[in-house]
Amino acid sequence: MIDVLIVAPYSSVRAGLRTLLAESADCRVVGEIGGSSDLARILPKTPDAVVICDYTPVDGPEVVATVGERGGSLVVLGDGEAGYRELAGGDLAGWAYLRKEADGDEIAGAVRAVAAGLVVLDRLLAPAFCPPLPFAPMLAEESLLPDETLTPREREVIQLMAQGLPNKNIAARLSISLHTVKFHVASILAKLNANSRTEAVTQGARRGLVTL
Amino acid sequence: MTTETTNALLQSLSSELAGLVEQIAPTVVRVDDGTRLTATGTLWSAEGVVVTTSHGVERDEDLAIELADGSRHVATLIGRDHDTDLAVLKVDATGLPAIALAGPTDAKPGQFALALGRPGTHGLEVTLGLLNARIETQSGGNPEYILHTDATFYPGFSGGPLVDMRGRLIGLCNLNYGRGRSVALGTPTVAHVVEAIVARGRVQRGYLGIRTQAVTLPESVRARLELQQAYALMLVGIEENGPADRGSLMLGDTLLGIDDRTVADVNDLRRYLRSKAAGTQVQVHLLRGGELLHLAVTLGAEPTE
Repeated sequence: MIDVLIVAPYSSVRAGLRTLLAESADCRVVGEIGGSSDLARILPKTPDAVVICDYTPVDGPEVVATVGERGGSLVVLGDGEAGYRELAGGDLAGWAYLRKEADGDEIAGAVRAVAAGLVVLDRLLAPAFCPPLPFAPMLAEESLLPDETLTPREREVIQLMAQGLPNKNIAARLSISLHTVKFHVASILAKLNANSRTEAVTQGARRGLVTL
Repeated sequence: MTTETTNALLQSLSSELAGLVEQIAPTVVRVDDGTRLTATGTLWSAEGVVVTTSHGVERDEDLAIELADGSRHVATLIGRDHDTDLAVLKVDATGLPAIALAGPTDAKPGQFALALGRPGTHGLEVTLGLLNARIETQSGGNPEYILHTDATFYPGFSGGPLVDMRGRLIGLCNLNYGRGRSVALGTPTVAHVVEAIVARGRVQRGYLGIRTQAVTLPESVRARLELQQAYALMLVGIEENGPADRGSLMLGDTLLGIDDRTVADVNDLRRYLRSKAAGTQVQVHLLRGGELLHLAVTLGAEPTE
């Protein structure tokens, strides 16, 4: 069980976060407070708690500093670069920077990760903030934009395309109509900017969309 | 040698060639996929199996084959193999003239080669050249090679036969392989793929159950571990309880090679897996946490459902 301490200036936000976390069996909210002044007082009593902070430019840096002083773990819900800079430059055991719109699963996942001492960055914020990876993607233009990723059904179709199956057989295998298969194939070709099925399969395999 | 003898020799060569073309012509068909540029196909069996290139068949449906006698037949796509760029079609006919196959040792650099095609609607086209090079592409227990020739392949020749002076298929012409050069896929590979597609609708290959993304290896890591390759494949997906999972591969591992092969691109991996049957144990070479790791993995079969 992971203890969680919620820090947010607005009671409605605190209530929302508590509700989201209630759905996670392994997270337990042990306190809800408004800001850094209360945090400094309560944190020593719950030394292992993961702090979730609804970041504000006014009090946010102070929350990061307070948790950092104790070598604690922090999940920040923010929307700008300032919060990220505070976290990345801080002294935290584990930390996460998520969008304020992050859903319950994402927040719970981040809580578990930072409790294990990991650093988590929201996937929609990652491209903006992430430092160059030691293993850089080979070609930038080959990586997909988020809105170009294949749907689960399209992934099933490209997997069967990779096996060289004709549309008719793909339709039979997935119990969908030939027309639907053609629609998916056209969409896959367009998303992968491919002129042929072979090119789509190669592109798909390069981008980690085809299981080998 | 007198002029008369030379002329006689040339005339004899010329008429021999023309006779050879006449003999092979019925095995060369036109593949109409409904697009502007049609492709060529080679008759593989008397029962109507036609082999051609996958890139030459843009559509899956509404395909037709035109035989040498001009008769038109509805064709069904049986399957494709993207790795070798082959597609296998079937027409509902019997007693067709199938092409004869040359053996693996019959393709030798320096020999004459004829390339035949039926591009567009002009009928048969033929070019002659030398077999310039034979490049072994992989072993995997089977002889596999591609052939270079200076016989010109014109647009629409893809899928046509490259034959020796006995009229036997030594390779299948492919304009996409050579980027301008005339390159043909050796007969043993064509035979292997066609037989697999006719039997099962697809080529079976060894299966790891991984999804990968190419990554650049940092110079520092290459220097420390004395790696030659600049690229490798990071595992971005592992099928639960698949062969890789059972072999203890983990998400985030960077695949450097399999057995004695370097894996720097997903095509290296695909090609190697094609040469390995399910049940084969392979040695997988990985980078995990900055260190080299060698794991034994037993390949599975591609899931069919």
